[in-house]
Amino acid sequence: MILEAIGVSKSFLGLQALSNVDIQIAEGEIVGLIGPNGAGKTTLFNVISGYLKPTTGDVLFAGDKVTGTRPHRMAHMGMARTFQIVKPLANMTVLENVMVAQFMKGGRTKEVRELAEHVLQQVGLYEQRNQTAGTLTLAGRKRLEVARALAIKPRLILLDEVMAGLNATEVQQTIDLIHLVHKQGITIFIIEHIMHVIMSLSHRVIILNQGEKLCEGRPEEVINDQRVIDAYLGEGFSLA
Amino acid sequence: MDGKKTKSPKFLIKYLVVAGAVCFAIAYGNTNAFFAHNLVLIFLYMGLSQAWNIIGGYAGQLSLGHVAFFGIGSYTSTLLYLNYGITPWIGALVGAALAAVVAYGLGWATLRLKGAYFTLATIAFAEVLRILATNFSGITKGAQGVGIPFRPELGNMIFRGKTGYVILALGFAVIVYLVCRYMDRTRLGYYLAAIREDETTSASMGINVANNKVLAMVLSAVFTAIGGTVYAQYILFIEPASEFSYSVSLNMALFAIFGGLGSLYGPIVGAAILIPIQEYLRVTFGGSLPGLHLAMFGLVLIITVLLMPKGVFPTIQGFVQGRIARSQKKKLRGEGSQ
Amino acid sequence: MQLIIQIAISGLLMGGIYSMVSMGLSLIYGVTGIVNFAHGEFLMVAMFLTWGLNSLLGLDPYISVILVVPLMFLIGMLVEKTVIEPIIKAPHSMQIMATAGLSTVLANGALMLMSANYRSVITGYSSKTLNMAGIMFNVPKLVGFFAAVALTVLLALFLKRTYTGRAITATAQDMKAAQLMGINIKRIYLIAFGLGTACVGVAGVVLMPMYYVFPSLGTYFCTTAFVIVVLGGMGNIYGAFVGGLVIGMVEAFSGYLLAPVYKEVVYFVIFIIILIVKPSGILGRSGRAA
Repeated sequence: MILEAIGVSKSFLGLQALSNVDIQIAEGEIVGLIGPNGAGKTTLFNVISGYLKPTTGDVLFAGDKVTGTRPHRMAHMGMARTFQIVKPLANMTVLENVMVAQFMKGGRTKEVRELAEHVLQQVGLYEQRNQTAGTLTLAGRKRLEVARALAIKPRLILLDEVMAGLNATEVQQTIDLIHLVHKQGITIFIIEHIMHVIMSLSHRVIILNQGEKLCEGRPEEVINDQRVIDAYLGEGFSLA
Repeated sequence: MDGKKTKSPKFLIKYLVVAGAVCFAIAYGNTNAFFAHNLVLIFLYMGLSQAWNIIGGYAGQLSLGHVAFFGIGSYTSTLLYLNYGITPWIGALVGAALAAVVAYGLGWATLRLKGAYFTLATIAFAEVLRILATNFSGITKGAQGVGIPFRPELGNMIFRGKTGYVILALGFAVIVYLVCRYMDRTRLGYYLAAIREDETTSASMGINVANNKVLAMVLSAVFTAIGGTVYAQYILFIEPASEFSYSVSLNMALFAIFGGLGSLYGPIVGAAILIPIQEYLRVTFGGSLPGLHLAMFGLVLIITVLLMPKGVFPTIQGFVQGRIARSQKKKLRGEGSQ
Repeated sequence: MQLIIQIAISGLLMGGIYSMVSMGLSLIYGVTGIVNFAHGEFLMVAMFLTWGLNSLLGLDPYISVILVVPLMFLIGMLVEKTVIEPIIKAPHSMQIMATAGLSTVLANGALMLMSANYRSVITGYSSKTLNMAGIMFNVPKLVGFFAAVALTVLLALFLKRTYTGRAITATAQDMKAAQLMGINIKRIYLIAFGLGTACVGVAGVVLMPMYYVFPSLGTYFCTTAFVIVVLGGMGNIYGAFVGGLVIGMVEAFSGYLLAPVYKEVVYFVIFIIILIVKPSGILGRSGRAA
């Protein structure tokens, strides 16, 4: 197992954001995490990547207990993440953004620059490399998030809604990009609202509702599960 | 962050021109004491402001209490020299080490403070040191200050005439510049810039935000303290009111911001332009209109922030680059139409 | 025991003056998000105005309040329009540098115009004291304290009862929501800045009969006001009132127990400790709210 969450709970001032969540992800999987708004998806990502300490429970990465390990240590161990609300280093260029991440792997500035350029070519941002990150379109900024995550050569990547706000073409490009990342042997754990994306990408889907794991399984099983439909319909969603 | 290494002859010429201009300035300073005095202050503040820029510009933590380290440097070397006969060359290093320890503590203590809170804490810290320096008169001689006897000798870091000081200050500026240039082009420079932009994102890229911020503070403090020793050896008199003066902190920040915050050339441009103006105003109006030169400075600061928030150097650079880009486009269009 | 009460009383009275200076700073921060590093210089300007009105027109300081406070309100609005409004959305560092620049301009401008001399206004009541059960009450300080209480109450009423006041509170709590409700944010910033400056005006007036004014006075009061505002919670005006009283007492007792010169050290140490342990202030809500 590359990632395990064992009985993870998190409460904020009495508000239970996560309760007793168990998750197992095997190396090489693409796992989708879905659930209505406020289900605790991003909170779970924050706990896994070290931005939040779970109230109880443990997180295991590649078999090692990493509960409460600080985010930069997690990055060094091989866990990368993107943010739902994109956080580019707005006044630095696109290339510099990726170079910052690339520096983690060491090397001289010149080599770091070349490697970063290579990553930018992979994600299709090479042409914009000398633009400041703040001037990118939303799709561009989401790509930049992925580029930075790739630059640290992770074993696992947590993608938090990298497609929200993109148009159909951009979504398809991002799906292709995720397949490309996966082919490099990187395990992917992805939060996504767009159902057909999750269906086409994921090997397995985990449903979170009100901080609890509702169920998990193969995409086609999950969407026919009555509990899932109820959870979503309660929120006014319709599936597929 | 312009790491492209150009080793064309054009680049070499640039260095030669700068070196030539500096040599000429030093030679001229030899015959004109006021000019030489300006050179000393320009070079000293180039170094100080550059040192401030590490934490204030690169890491984006606006300190207005850096005079604390300046004072630590000048008091340490001076007291070691006067009480134990230790040469200021060593004293400067001891002062730098002491400043590093203090900066390490202050850096950790103020780690979580952002924006104005950090600025306030640094101001308060410098104030505490000033009050302590004034009142621990057993060690510091208190408010009356300490004079350094004039014994010109290289070993005492005291020189007859100003030229020696010009070269001393120049050496200081060059060392700080080289360290900052190295930093600018390597990992630390990129990391500090990233931390300034967004700490959360930085952590996701494996950056230990806390360690890098504290490191920036320590580096910055070390060079500020050495600058303090240079200043003390030049003036040959130290007192709490000037060694821990708020206006020194403000100047360090002002020159960097005026020239270009977080840019390698910003502090150099800022000090080179503003010191002569400040000194001219001080000498000309210091008697009749005290405060004019400082009031002007406040005004320059406000105007810089309002009109060129990126500073003079990047503004001009941007303008020139814009022109070049436009003329190149014109050229391309011209070639295309042929 | 009598001595301790005496120290506490004089600390409390001085604290009232500090409260007034700090409330303006806190109000301005709460509404505009600007930490005004020139706040102490506003106090200096208000005191010079009071002094000027006294030496030119022979106005009693307490009467000159009717001129000084509106003048300070106008000065505050003028500064807001010229310096603050353009940088309201700029990064913190730029805001800090702009107001630090303003503080340098005001302090040294005063030095140019007024020289470094200390000036005071001597009145019949300047050194008068009341003796109650063996405890001495310095009259100008007592007036200052009650002025502080009155100012706090008036400010609270204004913020709660009037339309403009409620608009200011709304803006402090959520600028965007306030804007959506049709509140003219630019105008609110202007008024809040003027109001904050006017508070310092009151402080300047009541300080004048018992204190000196000189160009660099601002630095001293500004740092004290910052300590208080951080203690009370940035943007919390009631916190500023209580914080002022606390710092007044701390100052009085540390001046007595250690030596007067160390009182600043004591409260700076408190300041740094609060900043580190709980930056939102001991009494503070986190975030900005008036």
